[in-house]
This record gives sequence, structure tokens and C-alpha cells, in this order.
Amino acid sequence: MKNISNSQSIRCLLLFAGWLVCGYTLGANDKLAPAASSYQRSEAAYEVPDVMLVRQDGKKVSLKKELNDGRPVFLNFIYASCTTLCPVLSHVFSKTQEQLGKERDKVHLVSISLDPENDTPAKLIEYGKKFKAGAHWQHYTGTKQDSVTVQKAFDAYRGDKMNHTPTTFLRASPGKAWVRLDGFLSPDDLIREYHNLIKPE
Amino acid sequence: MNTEHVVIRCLGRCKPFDWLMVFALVTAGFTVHAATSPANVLEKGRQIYQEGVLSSGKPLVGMRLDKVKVEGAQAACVSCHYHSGMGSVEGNLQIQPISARFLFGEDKALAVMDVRGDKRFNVTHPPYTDESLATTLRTGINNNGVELNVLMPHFDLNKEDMAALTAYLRQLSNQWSPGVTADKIQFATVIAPGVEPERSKAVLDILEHTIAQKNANTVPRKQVGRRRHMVSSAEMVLGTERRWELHVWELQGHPDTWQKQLDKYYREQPVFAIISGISNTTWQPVQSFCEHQHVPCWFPSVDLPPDNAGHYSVYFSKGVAVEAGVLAKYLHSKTDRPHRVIQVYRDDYVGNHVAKDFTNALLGSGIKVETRILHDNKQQELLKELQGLAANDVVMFWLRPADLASLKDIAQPLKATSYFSAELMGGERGPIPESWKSTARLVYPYELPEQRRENLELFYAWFMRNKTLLVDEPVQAETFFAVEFLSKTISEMLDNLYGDYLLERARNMIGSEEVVMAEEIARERGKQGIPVTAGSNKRESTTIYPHLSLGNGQSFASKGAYIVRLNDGGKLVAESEWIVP
Repeated sequence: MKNISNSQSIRCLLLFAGWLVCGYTLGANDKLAPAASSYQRSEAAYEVPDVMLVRQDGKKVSLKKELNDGRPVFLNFIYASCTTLCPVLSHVFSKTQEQLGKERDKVHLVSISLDPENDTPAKLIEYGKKFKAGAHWQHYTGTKQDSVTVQKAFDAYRGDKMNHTPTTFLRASPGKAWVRLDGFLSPDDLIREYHNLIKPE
Repeated sequence: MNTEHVVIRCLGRCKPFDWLMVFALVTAGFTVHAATSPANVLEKGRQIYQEGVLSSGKPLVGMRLDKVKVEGAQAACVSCHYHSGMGSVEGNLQIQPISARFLFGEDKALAVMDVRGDKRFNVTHPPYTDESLATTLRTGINNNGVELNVLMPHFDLNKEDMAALTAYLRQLSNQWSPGVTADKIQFATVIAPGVEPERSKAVLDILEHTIAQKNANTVPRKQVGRRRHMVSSAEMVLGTERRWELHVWELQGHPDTWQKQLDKYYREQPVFAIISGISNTTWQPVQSFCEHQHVPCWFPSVDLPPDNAGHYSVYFSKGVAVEAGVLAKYLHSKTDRPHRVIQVYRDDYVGNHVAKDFTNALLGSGIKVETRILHDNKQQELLKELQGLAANDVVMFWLRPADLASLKDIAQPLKATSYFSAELMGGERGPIPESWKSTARLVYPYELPEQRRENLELFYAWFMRNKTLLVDEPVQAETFFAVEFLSKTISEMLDNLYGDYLLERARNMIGSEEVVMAEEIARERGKQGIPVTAGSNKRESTTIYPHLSLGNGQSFASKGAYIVRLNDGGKLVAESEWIVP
């Protein structure tokens, strides 16, 4: 067995010390990425605020009425110029509506703009087309103030739109609690959550 | 057998078939060369990176979350890592830089700074090789053995595509943009002809003073020991602070010649960005210059930027075009709509465009729109005609102060309601005829005065310290913001001085940076015991605008306006909410 010389051990020690120092600066780079499809599920009784939004067809509508027509609701927050998180959320909605098949006519997919001053109805329609949004999947805009009111009501307000986190909301029917899904979930996950929600008790 | 041999052999006694072979070989030689030429390979790499299109023409396909397929544009690297390859921070997600220096470089001092994501001293992995990069893309495990973020798709590219993408990444943001050296950054501002001398002087004074002050505080890396003020710890450690040099590019003559003039200026002195600038007429040729030369055009003070802004320009707003849209929406929504609107404007670039915009905006509203061009020496006639208008008519004056002044002294009371453009008037202090003031309205794309005074604390403080003359508050406040925001953004870019990255940071962070600055200023005021005034609910802006916000692909930061009137004391009162057309 070869003996480690003094200079070698000093070198080792220095390297180790250096590594410790570097370790502090490694920061977020080398954090283990979350396991695929890990998201947090919780429930809350969010109160839908009494605001008028502008639907992608240009009509001014009451958000309360839009969400309370009896259909189960899937809801998320996006903005048309977002290229990172929003496409992921919308892609999941897109695949979900596809995988639901005929069931999709019974649900209401709702995407509300975090950047309403830029997101005109026309821009929202263009955004929705990228994800093949069907008639049961509507995008909403309005005033900056009203968008903030809705975000706050769903505890999704994080200040600037760039601070938004990936969150999807589900509700079986008006009056029931909202299910909050924080994180990235696959279409399979979302459909499973939805089926569990509407299962007769 | 190569081409040479065939040709030499043919020169003696060639049959047509031999010549055909020569031709075929030469053509084949060119084709093969073209297909694998560096330029061609780079273009293929660019298509993968920016468009999500493979060499075969098929869409790029990636697998995310192990089971969700993404393809084409949605799979393209640019959508998360951006044009510069520098990535960003969105929510809790930190998107890594994948530019050349970060993937393949040995530069241990390289770093990315983001106030939301902690200062990060990057390049903590060994340089990638062609092989290890391909492996990482395929497996989702980086060359430190760590799993990449769950959102990063796995890509299984063939040899040709991998070679093309790697070649593209090896040159992506691999050097500072033109105009940047280790110690200095070159900038230019652009002054169009026809701007009132006092206004262009006001812009230049602010630019020169603020930049000189910044330079006085800047100690470049060679003289670190003599640093006199605190910079960010990152800048201090890395010594990335640089001196700024400003060049003034004055344009002459017809706008059709401006782009050439700018190209010539740029050839003689490349610059990192065009900062601020001013024009009373078109700005299109300047935007085209920036687009063509890939130079950021940073927040000029212009009344009517081109409607289609392109990638390299960012503006405060669409100027009078916003006012036209807002006024149309406002009049259309009134229960007592006017019967008719007469627009008065100058027969110039801005006047003609805004009159057309406004007419178009009111199509189908049932409101009749007419136009009157203001001619010199015809003011009396015009006013006489306006006198004859009914109470349910509206007159919209798209006029600058000099033109309004020519009407002011001879104007008699109007039955119709007069509207004015705050943009063209330079705010509410324009020369509105006295007898019209009680019914006058302004289309007002700025924050209301009390809140605005708070927003502009820093600007006013600077103003007083420098004993500057207030000539045109909107333009001067805009210029001040342009420098401040540029300075902040550049300091956070550390050594990563690429034009694309400058714009990406500006677009992504202007909204949140404004809130941070506004809150800091409010805190300072609190510390100094300055009493809170009436308009102090908002902490969103340090400019004349209620809020500035951009995003990927967006170029106009403020999008609306108020309709206001003047009360008895001459104070501004809002007649509407903030309207976005």
C-alpha cells in the first residue's frame, strides 16, 4: 500500500477546503431536480370575485357566471407572450382535452391572463390556437386591476407576471371546494385528479 | 480519381461523356461543400435552436416529464433559453445559460446575476465536449452527474443535427457585442432633424450629465483599489463595471437617407445600444437601422413609433396612436356620444398618421369623423368654422405647443368640447386657450399628477441637485429613466454584454424592477420623514407612466391613457378609468 506523502495530503485538504467554498456558491445549479410529475395537491374554498372580464370573443362577462354554469372547471393563469411556463400549462390542458374525448364537452377549461393590457381577445385566440383550444376552453382578459383581483382570490398573485408559478385549479361544481395543484403534472395526472373529484361518493 | 485528374485528362482528347463527368464531379464537389459548409451547418443549428426544425425539415421532438412529448416551436431551445442563450428566471424556475462560454468555456469567473434567484457564480461544471453534450441532451443528466430540471426535455438527435446544434451553441454569445471592451461601453443617441432645439438640448443635457456622473463613480477593474462607492458585490468581485462613452448622432435631411447616415456612423463607431433619442416625425429609419445591425434601440422619446416594432426596439408607448385608440374607445362608450368629431392636425408625418388611426378606430361607431388641416395664416378661418359647431360636437386637436399658441390669443369660446393630445402638448401645461379651459379635455397617457409626483421623486431630486431647467417634463423624465434603467440592467449583466441579452432582461424585468425601485424610494422617503401624500397607494412606477410592462415579443411598455379635464383651479381631474384600446 502506497503511503500518502505530506504534500499530497495537504493538497487533498486544500482541494477539499476549496470544494467546500465552491459548494456554497454552487447554489441552485446542482440542486436535484424534482422527480417527474411531483406536484402538491391541496383544497381551499376560494371565493370567486365579482368582476367582469373580457372573454376571447370580445364579450364582457361576469366571471362568477362563467364559472357557475354547472360544469366542472379546470382553471389556470397564463399570458400570451410567455414562452416558458405557460406553454407547459397550456400543453397539459391541450392534451387533457384530447384525452378526455367526448367527456370534454362536459367540462369548462378556463385560462385567465396575467398580462391583460397586452393580451387582447385577438392575441388570446391566437395563443389558444397553438394548443388547439376547443370551444369548451376559453381565455379571459380585462383590466389590470380585475386580473389582480382574480389572482388574489385564488392565492395566485405573486406580483409581476414573471413571478408566476405553475398552478392548476379544479372544481367539480359550484359550491364545492377548489382543488389546487401546484407544480408540473402530466395530462394523465390531471385527468386522474379530475376523475377522483367527480367520482360519486 | 479527383476532379483535377479528369480535367487534365480531358484537355487532350475528350469525349462529351468525359466532360459530363467533369461537370458532375465539379457540381458534386460544390454541393457537398455547400451542404457541410460552416455557414450551412450554423444555419441548420440555428433552425433547431430558434425554430425547433431539424435538418430533415421535420419538427424537433423532445420528451418532458418522461412522458409528455413536445415538438416544433414549443420544443425549441429559444423558448426557455432565449436568443442570447442566457436563460432567465420565471417563478421558481431558474433556466440555465447555455451560451458558448457557459457550456464550453473555461472561464471560472463567469456569472449570471438575478435579483430573484440569488447571485449565482456559474460554470460549476467542467466544459462540455461534443460527446458529453449529446449525452446530456439524451439522458437529462449533466456532466456533473446531476439531473437537469424536470422541464428540460430529453432530445435524441441524430449525428447531423447534433453537430449542427453544437456548432451553433459554440458560437452563441461567445463574445461581447460590438461597442463593448473590457473597460468601456460605447453608446449613441439619435437626434432627428426638426426637433425644437430646447427639447433636443434637454435630452442631451440629461444624457451627458447622468452618464458623466455614472462614470465619475465607476472604477474599472484595473483600479479596483481606488473604488469610491459600493457597487453590487458581484460587480466588485468580478470587476465588470465599465465606463460609458456617449456619441451624438445627428440626422440630416429626408428620412429616406437616415438609415444610410446611421450605418455610416456605426461603421465609424460601433455602439452597444442607441440610448434614448428624439424625433417629432418618423422613427422608422432608426428602428430599421437597429433591426438590421442588431443594435438595441432603447426607449427613445418619439410621438409615433412604427406600429410594428421588430425585435431590437423597445419603446415607452405607441405615443399618439394610443391616444387615438383611447379617445375612440372612450367616445364610443359614452351614453351621450358626440354626433361628430372634427380632427385638427398638421399635414405632417405624425398628423396624417394619427388622423387616419383615429378615423379607423371610429369606423362603425355611428360617430361622424371629419378632418381639418391646420395651415399657417389660416388660423382665423379655422376658428370661425369651429365656432359654428354644436354642443354635441367634439374637436380633437392633434397639435404641438407652437401651433396651439397661434390659436390661443384669437380663440373665442366654443360650444363644442375640445380635446387635446397630452403627448403632443408635452403634458397638461400646454397653451390651451383660456376660454376653452373649462370644457377642455385631454387624452392623457401619463400617471395623474399627484401619484406622478411621487413616482418621479428620484428624477425631481436629481433635477434640483443639478439645477436643470424644466423644458418638457415627459421627455426629460423619459430620458432620465432610460439611463437609470439601462445602468441597472447592464450592471446586473456583469460580463455578459450581449445586445440580445440586454433586451431579454429589459423585457422580462422592467415591471418588477420598477416596483422594486418605487418601493425603495418610498422607504427612503419614510426614513426622511417626508409625509405621505394623497396618491400614495401605488408603488409601481418611477416614471411618468402608471406602470411599464413588457414581455417576450413585446415592445411597447405603457398601453393606455386617461381622459382628464381641468377643474376650476386648473387642476387635472380624471374623467375616466385607465383605458387600454
